[in-house]
Amino acid sequence: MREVPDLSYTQLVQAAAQRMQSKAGQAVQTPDVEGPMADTPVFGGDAPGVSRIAVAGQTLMAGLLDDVTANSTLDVSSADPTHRVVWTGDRLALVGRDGVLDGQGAGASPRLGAGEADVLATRLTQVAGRIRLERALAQLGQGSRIGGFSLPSSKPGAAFKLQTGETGPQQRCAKPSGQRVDAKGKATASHCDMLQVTLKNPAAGMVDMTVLYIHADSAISMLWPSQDLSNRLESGAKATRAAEAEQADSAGRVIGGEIADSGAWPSQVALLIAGQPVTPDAQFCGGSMILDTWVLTAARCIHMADANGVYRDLNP
Amino acid sequence: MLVGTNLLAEGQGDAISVEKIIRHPAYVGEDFDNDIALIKLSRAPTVPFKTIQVPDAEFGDQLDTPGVRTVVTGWGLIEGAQRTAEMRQAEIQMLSRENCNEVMLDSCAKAASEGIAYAASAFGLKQPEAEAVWQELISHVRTPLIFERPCMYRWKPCLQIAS
Repeated sequence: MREVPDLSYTQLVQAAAQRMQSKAGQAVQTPDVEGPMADTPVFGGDAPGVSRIAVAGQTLMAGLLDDVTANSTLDVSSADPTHRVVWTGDRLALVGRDGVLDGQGAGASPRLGAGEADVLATRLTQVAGRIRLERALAQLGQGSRIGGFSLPSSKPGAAFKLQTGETGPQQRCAKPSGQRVDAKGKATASHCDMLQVTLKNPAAGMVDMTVLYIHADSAISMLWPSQDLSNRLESGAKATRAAEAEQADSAGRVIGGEIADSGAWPSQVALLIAGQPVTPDAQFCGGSMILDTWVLTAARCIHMADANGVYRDLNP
Repeated sequence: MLVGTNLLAEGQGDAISVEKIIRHPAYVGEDFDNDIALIKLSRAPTVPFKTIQVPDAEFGDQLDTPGVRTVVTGWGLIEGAQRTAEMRQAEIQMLSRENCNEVMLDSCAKAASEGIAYAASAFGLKQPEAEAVWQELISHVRTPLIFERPCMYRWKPCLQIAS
């Protein structure tokens, strides 16, 4: 594909169809292409100096991006875009909602393929990730409504509060001191504002809840649970978490807690099956040192059913 | 008994044999009550370790309050069935037994109601019909669910239907 710079949509689809047939080994339903775009090049032809994105004067000649001229803007995402992409005449650049190129000074808007940290490519990946997440969540919501019958129960809820923060010296955030205001519907938070989420579970059962924060630049981070901890909310429990708005760190959830620091729990001991090599498979219980030669453990660790179902203490 | 290591591997920590085991006399196999025992080691560990202070009754009651956050540590199974060589820690919240029973029963009821909902959608039942099936089902439950007290004992099946 890369070797054919003036590859057309028809050729591309034909190549895909051939591949599908050769892989399946029999007749399969194959894709077809027709319409006015069928014979236009996918990558915009073989203009000298540009392999994938061809330019004629100030106009972009790249398949669906045909006729994009200098300062034409393209929406990154269709739903209320916070960023737009503009054609600068030699590169694609990312601008804010207002569509102004280099509003903060020459070269301030990030360019595609410029520099090691390709901001635009990262943002586009984040937007794609966000759209995928939104679609997945929308599907999840539909799937849970099977049958339309459920026992009456109170539902867990989340409330948000916003506290205005101030930018201190060197763009660092000062401790916010303002009033906490209920954030409902569409609230706008700016840099350094503190967003607080309170979760309540009034139901009799535990629930698993995850609260995601989607940044203006489409990066996604987690408000609840905090890193490495369970997202389970016990019955009657209330949890509060605060996060600085636009603080761009993405946290991952680990099921089963986190690995303890070496030496963090010096009283924790492991009960191992005697005579076996020291491996995770030999371990069956844990305990705590309470004196030099005494360990506190659970009775169920040393008192269990034998092959006949009779409960016995383990032999030392 | 392996003392003084986070990692379960040969050459880590100090492996000490057990001299004596003392179980709480009131502990019976399937119950969660009195689930405590003491183990005497044949000698003191030769690697660095620390002892915990066992809380007295008053402090124990404070710790045993529902909602108190505590950290559990150890090497149990993670993510279903995987064994771990590295010691892990996780924060949990204390739960009263009453609350635990309610939660277990609620989750049982939830599983049952989801099953009914699935059956209702599969057979195209309407809301009143689905509720009639639900009433029929719970009228066949052998004992009132509340007396099952799932958090008193080890795992028991959710619903026992009398045939």
